[in-house]
Amino acid sequence: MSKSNNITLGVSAPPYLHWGKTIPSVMKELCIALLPAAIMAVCNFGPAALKVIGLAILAAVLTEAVCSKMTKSECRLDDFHAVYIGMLVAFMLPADAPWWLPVIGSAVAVGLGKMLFGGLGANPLCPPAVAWAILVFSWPALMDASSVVLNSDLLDPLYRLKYFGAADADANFTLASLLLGQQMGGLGSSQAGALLVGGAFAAVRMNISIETPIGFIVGVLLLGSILNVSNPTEYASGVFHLFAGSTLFGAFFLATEFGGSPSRPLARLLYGMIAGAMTIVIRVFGIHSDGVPFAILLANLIMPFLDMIRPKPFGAKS
Amino acid sequence: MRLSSFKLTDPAEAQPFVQVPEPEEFNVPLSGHKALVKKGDRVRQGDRLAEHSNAAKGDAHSPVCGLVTAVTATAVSVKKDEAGQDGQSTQAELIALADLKGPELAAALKKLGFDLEDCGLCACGKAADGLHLVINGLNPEPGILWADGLLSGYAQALNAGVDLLRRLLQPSKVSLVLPEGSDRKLDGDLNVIKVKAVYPNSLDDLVIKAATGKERPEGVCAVSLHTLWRCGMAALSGLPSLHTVMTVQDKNYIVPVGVSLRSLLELAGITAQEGDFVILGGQLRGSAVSNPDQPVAARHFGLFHVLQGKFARAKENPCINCGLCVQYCPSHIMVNIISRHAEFQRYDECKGYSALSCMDCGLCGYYCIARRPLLQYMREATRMIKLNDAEITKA
Repeated sequence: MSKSNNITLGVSAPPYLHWGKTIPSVMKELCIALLPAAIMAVCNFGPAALKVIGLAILAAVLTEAVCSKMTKSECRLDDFHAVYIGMLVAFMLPADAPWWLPVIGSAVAVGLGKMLFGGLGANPLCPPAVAWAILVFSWPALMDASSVVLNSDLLDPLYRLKYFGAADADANFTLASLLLGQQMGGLGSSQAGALLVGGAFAAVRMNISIETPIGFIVGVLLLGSILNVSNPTEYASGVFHLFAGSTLFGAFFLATEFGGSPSRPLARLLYGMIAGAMTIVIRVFGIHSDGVPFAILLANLIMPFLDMIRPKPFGAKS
Repeated sequence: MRLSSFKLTDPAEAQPFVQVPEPEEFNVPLSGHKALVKKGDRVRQGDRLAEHSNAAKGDAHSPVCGLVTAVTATAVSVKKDEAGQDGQSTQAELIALADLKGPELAAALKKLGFDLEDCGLCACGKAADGLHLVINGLNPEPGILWADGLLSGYAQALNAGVDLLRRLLQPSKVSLVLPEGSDRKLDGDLNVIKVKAVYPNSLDDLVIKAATGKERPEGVCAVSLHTLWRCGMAALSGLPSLHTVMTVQDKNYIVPVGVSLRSLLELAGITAQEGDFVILGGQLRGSAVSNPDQPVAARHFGLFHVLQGKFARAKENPCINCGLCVQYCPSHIMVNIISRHAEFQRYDECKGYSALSCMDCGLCGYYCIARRPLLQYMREATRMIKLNDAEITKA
């Protein structure tokens, strides 16, 4: 800065235009995109859902503060990423989970999933999915919404599908009921319709890349439909898989996490399709009824290879 | 500031160019020049004030007839005088360029204040054999508005410029790249190519690709309309390059070299407040001015006022791998990785990730949500790679 006639002009590196999106603005809008699902969660599961969300956010923020303090690094809580992670972790838990479950989940997501690797963007795996995987293996009974949420008549569509067959699942659930979140599962991750609205908002506002969820949905529909056509009595339709369980939650909010997803549109499309197809594979052939976070963790591991799909640099000789 | 598009054409282009009035005192900018005059000397319009020891860098000239009032390392000040004193001529002898060609013309252009690299010659001042000359007829950046006005209102100067460059470079082929929908023409046997008028299509690399179909081919050079106009004006008048065309905020001006940026801003009705930015050049690739008393040089083509708080300040934030810079990079390189290596001076790694493919467009910095100074990192990386390579060839 230099003084001239009492005016100090600003100086900084070019460009002097910016499209206006910064990390805090993106994270705030992503939290807003999750709000419809949070509201639907309270409608479907009662105020207990709010308690879980609140505890998860609180634990995520505290964990990040403590980690920054311990590593003597700049505290970046003002980027709202911890709040977003907290919401994502809470969304995958049963509404009546004991108070310490969201606390441990968020602490694991932020501490192990994100801060251990150096903070936002440096994480190779999607932090909330890491937390979910650890909770599912550590406390399988408490993570099973059907056995935790007792004051509800809702059924778990993927559970019905796995143990009672496609016909039973079709009989118990209509498209409208799935969209309205009339299904047992993670408190926010099962609010299919609200997540679709929030996801569309996030994609239109360019807070998430559109290719990843499109690829994810195509992957689910494609493999789901192929199996369904081959044996309709045993396998549910691709559309059922899309709206049952946490498919849309994973497609729009977990798979799009910065650190674990590739940079280029084609690679993102493939990454989404791999995660979507893995979801179906785990649901149909695996032991878990809903495999979305696992599918995303696997796709995260393939990401470095997908990032190798790239056009030739401009003017490069070979 | 948010742009909905990077359009390179604008309805405001139709406005006529405004002639900037001559001030009482000019500060002719020098950069590495050796002054030929001293304080108190009388100079005529077009007299050489300073010469550059590099044969490819243009000399500096007096925009008016007057008295030299100060000579510093960065400028020569000339105060306008009453014309016609002592019966002397007020103008330097005119230089006829019409009969010159090749190296003679190059030497004359240098003496008239042109940087030869701008005119399509290599840094050593030579032209490649059988060169393909591509005239870049687009506005260089969004917000710059003079291209269409030059093509419509100054066709005579541009034609003279093409004629001059033909004699200078002796090209085997001349192409003119214009925005889609433009029906502007220049004289002579020009191969006209239309491209979509959206940034970054106006970058020389992409204009050459549009004209030849190849990426960074040998024996092709691009010359901007801005340089072409200046060459044409010199060819028509026989005087050195004493004016430049600039877009100031949203209007085009014909600006005498040596006018202060402050007076230009005043003329355009802009009052910069404390902390505001004044940008010289385009808003994506230009530089922020710290001193508004800085004079206009012949190569300047744009001046903008950006309000404080229009964008979050760039600083050395860590990369978060969102991938936006990679997605929008016209050079198809991994700016996220290269910038991280550049940040820690690991230039060999930058080279391995093809940092030299960068075309310096600035889109990475425009989209970076972490507000990293990505263009700065890329410029540092490419510059250091070139320096290191030069060291290696020397050794």
